[in-house]
Amino acid sequence: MTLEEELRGLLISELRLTHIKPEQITDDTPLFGNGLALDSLDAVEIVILLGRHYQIDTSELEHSREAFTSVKTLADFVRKKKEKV
Amino acid sequence: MKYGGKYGNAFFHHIIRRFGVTPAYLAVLGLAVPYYSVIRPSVRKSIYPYIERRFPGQNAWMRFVNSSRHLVNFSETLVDQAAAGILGTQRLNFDFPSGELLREVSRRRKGLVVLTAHVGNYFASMVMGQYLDIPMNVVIDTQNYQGNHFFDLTKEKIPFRIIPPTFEGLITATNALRTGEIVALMGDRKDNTRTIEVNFLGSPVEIPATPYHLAYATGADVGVLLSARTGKLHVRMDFEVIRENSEWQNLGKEAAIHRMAQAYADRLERYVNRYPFMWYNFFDFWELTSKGNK
Repeated sequence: MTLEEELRGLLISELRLTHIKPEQITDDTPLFGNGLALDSLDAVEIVILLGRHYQIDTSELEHSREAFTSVKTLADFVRKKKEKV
Repeated sequence: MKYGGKYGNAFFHHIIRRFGVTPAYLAVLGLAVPYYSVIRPSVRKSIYPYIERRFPGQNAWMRFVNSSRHLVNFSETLVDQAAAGILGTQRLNFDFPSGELLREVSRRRKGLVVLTAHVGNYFASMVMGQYLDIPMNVVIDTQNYQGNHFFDLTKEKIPFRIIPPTFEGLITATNALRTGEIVALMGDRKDNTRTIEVNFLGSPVEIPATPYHLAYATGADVGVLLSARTGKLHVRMDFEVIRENSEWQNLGKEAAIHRMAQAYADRLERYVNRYPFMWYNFFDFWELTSKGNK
């Protein structure tokens, strides 16, 4: 399973997006706005799930809004943080 | 509700600087209160939705009297806030019987969401950050905060980190809680995010859901910190824990969040019953917009 696939599953389960199937989310589907229409409180949960599942420092996300753009950008952020460990 | 204005505020700030606090009280009582009570009654009437629920069944005269008393208290509080900014926060006298409880809970380093409200001298309560061992963050929009009579005037080092109520700010608050810090938020004024419906003074109201989502997501403890103006430059503060040790987490997210929000509304209701003329939300707090939960 790729990191992107894993993140799709996590977003659906942790954010309770029960009306969405994983295959409906592409790597580039916008998480906010016209895409999944998530909001800032969902972003809070994304921060928590990234910290919990990947044990990474999420403080950088305070200045990296672009990391929340899509599954791909989230995966890139996780990879970058994992490389640094 | 617009109260004061640039030149009006500058006038009262000049009186505080030149003559002291007591003349400023007299000036607001002689000028500002009659102006906003009689000449521009829309300001006084903006308190009615609250006054009518806090004192049900009152006649028109008593509604006028009570709303005017509200304006008197609000005006004196603004003088105190400005005086703390101009003359220094050391001029404020604090009575904080539950201060040790706040220190004790914050020292657990589990993250602490502190809910405040527009009650009494609420800006003064933020100054309490200097007495805590744990870093304190306050989510507040200092740029657009009407009646910002403290931040504009103080030259002191603010004893907390200000977090703007933005997307990035919310991430900052989340990380602060994850590292065991304190995050204080106003719980009684809707923002642009989700709201949650609770009962307050006998009717449903919507309050911001953000504090409870933050607490639920991070497992932080939750407390309520309210303040009352008890005299000239005197502030009484009360802190109470409403959730600790991830209580209610097993109820599921929505139920836990609602339980926390109602607990906050109950504490606020108890406070405005005790200090009826010190809740400063000058709009119809009971108007439901149904932004709703997600």
